[in-house]
Amino acid sequence: MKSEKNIEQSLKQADMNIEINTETDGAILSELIAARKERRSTATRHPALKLAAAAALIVATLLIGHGLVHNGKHVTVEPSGHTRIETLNLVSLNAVYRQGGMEALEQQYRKTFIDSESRPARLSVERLLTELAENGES
Amino acid sequence: MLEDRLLIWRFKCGDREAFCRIYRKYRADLLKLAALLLHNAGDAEDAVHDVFVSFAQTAERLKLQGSLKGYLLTCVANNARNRNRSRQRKQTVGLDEAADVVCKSATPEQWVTYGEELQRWSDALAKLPYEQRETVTLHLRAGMKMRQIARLQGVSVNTVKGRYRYALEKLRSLLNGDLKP
Repeated sequence: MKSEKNIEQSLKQADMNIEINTETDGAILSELIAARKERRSTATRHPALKLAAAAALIVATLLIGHGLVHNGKHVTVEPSGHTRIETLNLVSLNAVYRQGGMEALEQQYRKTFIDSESRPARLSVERLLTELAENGES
Repeated sequence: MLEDRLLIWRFKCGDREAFCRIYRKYRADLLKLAALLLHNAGDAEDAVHDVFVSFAQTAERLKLQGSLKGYLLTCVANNARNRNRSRQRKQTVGLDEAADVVCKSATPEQWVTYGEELQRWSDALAKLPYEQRETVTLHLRAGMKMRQIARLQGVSVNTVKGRYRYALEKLRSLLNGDLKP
């Protein structure tokens, strides 16, 4: 007679072997990888997402280059030509990037711009690159 | 756990090898769980396949709270429950439909051959009502806590405990003398 405790133990520790057919297994894995590839190609990253990532990186470089914080004191930065909302967006993306890397940045961008459909239309990589070049010269 | 997080991160970055590693690491455990829950080789394989397809396609949006294994086991449990429901619906339609379900289980190229012990437990568990089978399997084989099972089944912890107790009682009366200690 087995007690419930015994049955509990037997089921918990039962050595349940399975034999996997390597040929089918390989085919399934290939199929899964193909499904993944297909998904990635159809859902290529949003161009705006790339734009935001590039913008955040450029702003981060600019901020570090200019030394936004110098000896613990905030230094006034010359106006860059962005609107206040754009600047805030870029600063927030920069902060998120520093904390969580590219992954967190993408999520934040999605949350901020795509979900709320408030992507700043005037922001472009060309403009940021121009500014970067100008700042580098001066 | 840390390795899993790293694998997911690499997978999200497009590393194919990371996905292969996740697949090879967990497929056997998922197949065993599915087999115990569904008592049908074809359905079990389909359930695990579906979970991996879904995982491969949606990993970018995945925000893992606990372990990857726990997440995948939960996905299999959910998929198995849905399959069981649709199977029950089909079986109530009529004998023709029921026959069709049985035929589907015999696939020409089996992904897995189940061991004797697993077959025996699967046969015994199949005699329990699905909720009881699910409770006892998830607790003893997937290592889930009663609280987690309750959340998964959408019932109270006490209900889960009751199901577990009834399941063990029934298993005891079914298995006495049948299984090796």
